[in-house]
This record gives sequence, C-alpha cells and structure tokens, in this order.
Amino acid sequence: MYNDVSTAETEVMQYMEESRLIRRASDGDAGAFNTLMGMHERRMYAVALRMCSNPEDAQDCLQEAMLRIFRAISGFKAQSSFSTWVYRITMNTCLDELRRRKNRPNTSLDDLVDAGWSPSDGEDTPERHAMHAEMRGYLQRFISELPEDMRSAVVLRDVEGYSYEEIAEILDTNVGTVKSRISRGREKLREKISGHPELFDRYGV
Amino acid sequence: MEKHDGKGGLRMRCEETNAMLDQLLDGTLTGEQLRSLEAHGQTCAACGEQIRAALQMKALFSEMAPEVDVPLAAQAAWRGAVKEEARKKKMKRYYSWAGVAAAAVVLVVGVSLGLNGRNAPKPGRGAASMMAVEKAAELSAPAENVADEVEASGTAVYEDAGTAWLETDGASAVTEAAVPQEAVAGVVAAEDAEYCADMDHEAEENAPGTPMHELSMRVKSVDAACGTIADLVDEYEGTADIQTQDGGANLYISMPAENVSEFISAIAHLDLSGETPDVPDLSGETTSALLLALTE
Repeated sequence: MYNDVSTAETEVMQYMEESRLIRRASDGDAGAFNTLMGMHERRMYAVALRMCSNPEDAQDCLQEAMLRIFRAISGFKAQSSFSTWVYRITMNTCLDELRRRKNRPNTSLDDLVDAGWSPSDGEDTPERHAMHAEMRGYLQRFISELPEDMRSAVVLRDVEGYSYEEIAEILDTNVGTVKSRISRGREKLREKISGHPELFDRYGV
Repeated sequence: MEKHDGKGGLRMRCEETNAMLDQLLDGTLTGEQLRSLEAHGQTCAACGEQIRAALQMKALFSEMAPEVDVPLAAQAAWRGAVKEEARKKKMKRYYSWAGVAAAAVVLVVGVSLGLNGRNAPKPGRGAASMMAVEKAAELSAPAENVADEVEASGTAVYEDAGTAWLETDGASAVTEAAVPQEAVAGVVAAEDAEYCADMDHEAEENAPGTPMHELSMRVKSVDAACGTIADLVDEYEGTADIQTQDGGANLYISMPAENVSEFISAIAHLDLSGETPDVPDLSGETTSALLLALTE
C-alpha cells in the first residue's frame, strides 16, 4: 500500500497533526484553527469560485464558511472525515449565499476568465491561451446557469474530482441522486455548448 | 442492449448516448465503447454534436484547477474574522468564570505571576504547595475558608527563600514553594474551571521569527499541570494554555524549537514525590496518577 515506510509515517503524522489541531481549535484556539484550515482554504475557495462564479462572492462565502466551521468545530466527531465535513459546510454556505442573492445580475466574463484556471499543455501560444481562457469563461457562465443542485454535483465531480460516494456524503444525499444530478447537469451543459458552436468550435476537438 | 453489426464491433443507439457520455467524462469508457461512440457520432448528427460538446467539456474541465490561490487580502480577512470570533468567545468564558469564583473550592496558584522570581524552582514545589493547601483544607477548615483566607489576607509568611507557611483556621501547612502573595491568582471552582492559567499574553513577547514548536500533553493531576509543569514550560521560555477536562488537564505548549528536547527530558525526569520531609506525604495515588503522555 505504501511505497516506503516514510510515506505511511507521513500520512499518520498528518492525521495526528490534523487531530491535534482540531482539538486545539475546538478549545477555541484561533491560531490552531487558522493553521488547520490553511490546508483547506485553496480547495474551499475553488469550490466557492465555481459555485458563485465571481471572486468577490466566492471570498465572502469562504469567510462565512470559515466562521461557521470555527463555531461548529467543537461539535465535530471523529467518526466522519474532517475533510468531508469541511466541504459540506463550504457547499452549504455557497448554496445559502446563492439563494440569498437570487436577483443578482450576472457578472461580466472578465471576472471569470482569470480566476483559477490552469492552462492545458496544448496552450503554447498566447493566442491559444487566450482562446481557451475565454472558452473556460463561457463554460463557467453555463455552470452558473445550472440549477443549484445540479451545479453543486457537477462542480464536485468534474472540477474537484470527488467520487460519487464522497459527493453523496458532502451533499448529504444518496449516490443515485448524485448520479442523476450529475448526468442531467452535464446534459444541460452539453446542450448549451452545442448551442453556441461559434464560441466553442475553435477549440478544435 | 448492444447489437453487433456484423463487423465485430458494437452498434450504438441514440438512447445510450447520454449514459456513454457520462462514462466518457468519468473516464470509465473502454476503448471499444469509445470507438463505437465515435462511429455512431459519424452517422447520427444530433449525437455527433453531443459527443463533440462532451469532449470539449471534458477538456475544459481538466483545465479547471481544483485548488485556487486565495488572494492575500481575503486570506487576511477570514483569519482576522476567526481571531475576532475566538476573542469574543473567550471574553464570554472569562465573565462566567469570574461569576463562579465566589463558590470557591480549590485554590490554584497562578504560575504566570512571578513564581520563578527568586530562584529557579526545583521540580515538585508548585505541586507540593498545592498539595499542602489541599491537605490543610481537608484537615480542618472547609475548603471555602481556606480560599477566602488566602485571598483576603494573604497569609503567606516567609521564613526564607525556600519556605512559606500558609495559615488557616488553625491548620497550617508547610510548603517548599517560594510563593509571593501576589502569586495567588484567585480561586477557582474546580468543577467549573475552564482555565487555571492563561499565558496567552506572553505569546506576543516571543521574538518574532523564533521558530516555535507546538506540543500538547494530557496530565491527570491538574495541580501538577498548573504548578510543576507550568514552571518548567516557563523555564524553557515557552507558553502554555492549560485547560481542565474530564478530571485532568490538557496543556497546549508553544516553545522555541531549540528548547523542546531538553524540556521533554526534564518532564521525563520530574519527581513529584516531594523533596521535603515536612510536606504532608503526597499520597501515592497522586504521584502515580500523574499521567504524562505526549499526545498526538
């Protein structure tokens, strides 16, 4: 299972480190909490970015999620995975914010284009880089138009790479529901993509 | 249901497209399935569009980073918000602690207020002083009186640097601790105490840039935690946050990295059985009950 003893040791030490920080954070130690959550903030922010579609809202969601986690951490039981629990709170925070801001106008694409995209290997020229960035922006726009339950499932699967089982835990539902939401969400995205050939045909697939 | 088209391959039908595209995005499509999908796409325009869109989507998704750097201002913002939240929670706890102080049961010596002032303390003193006070309380006066006495009048009398008498209601206890009157930080109700010493304020006094090591311990003897061990932490230039829990105490220690191994060695060599014959015999259960564990 492990390539060498040091990998296993590292994992154990990380787990022990996490447990220790969780305990201290549960006792109200803000420093320990900030250290602990520093290991999760980039992923939490990525999720918030895909759900909220603009950096300002995503940062608000990130902060709100951190506060909720801090307030609730003393009630965290070691039975479930800490990571799963963190992303459940993160996702719920995003969903709450989205419902609150239902009437917000859509953000301009410029905000989306540079937010957290890692270029593929094929983007060797500035032109291709710009082209792909623009297409990713459109995809994010379409994601933001998905109903929230489909959006959360698709983001967790196709952007974050969680398994169906993990997503079911994060969203507090069952695997069948998760599969259905992902399938329908992807179908809607495909319809939008194929409905805008002028935007995507340049991708050259 | 898959139909073979007579050429050794599988022929797809449109109804299967959706399911196969899900597999495509999940990366679970076999080579044969992919080929039949592509073949189908060539004969069926609608499915061909879906397939192309799915491939574009898959490629774009793979470029979307699952983790994104948080802008520095936002990082500072959430960390600050959490610290503020922690401060508010702590203030609430202190207020309720003060309210409960009136129902005093056990006297706790405040270690942050100069206990080390005169000599470097030898291990055992802090604990011994508290053991002695407890014994005194048991012997005669009800515990509340002990606490009131000390708090009100500061009845410690010094003979020399090494000895202090604590007098209460006729019972007296000898301790080997150099216990300045001001060191009596206050009285705490044992059941309700959440903190017996809070040295957080000292954290700021450490030179910035000193690499600090964090460790935690659980100790069965609250007194030892607040006394002996806290003394040692101080001696090694660390700070400790001590919290009682389930009849014992947890210590969260922050200490300059270079001192840690010596500190741990000192802890391992602690002898809490008391070095002065005059101290009421520390019951064996106290010493053996001192459970030292460097928790994970």
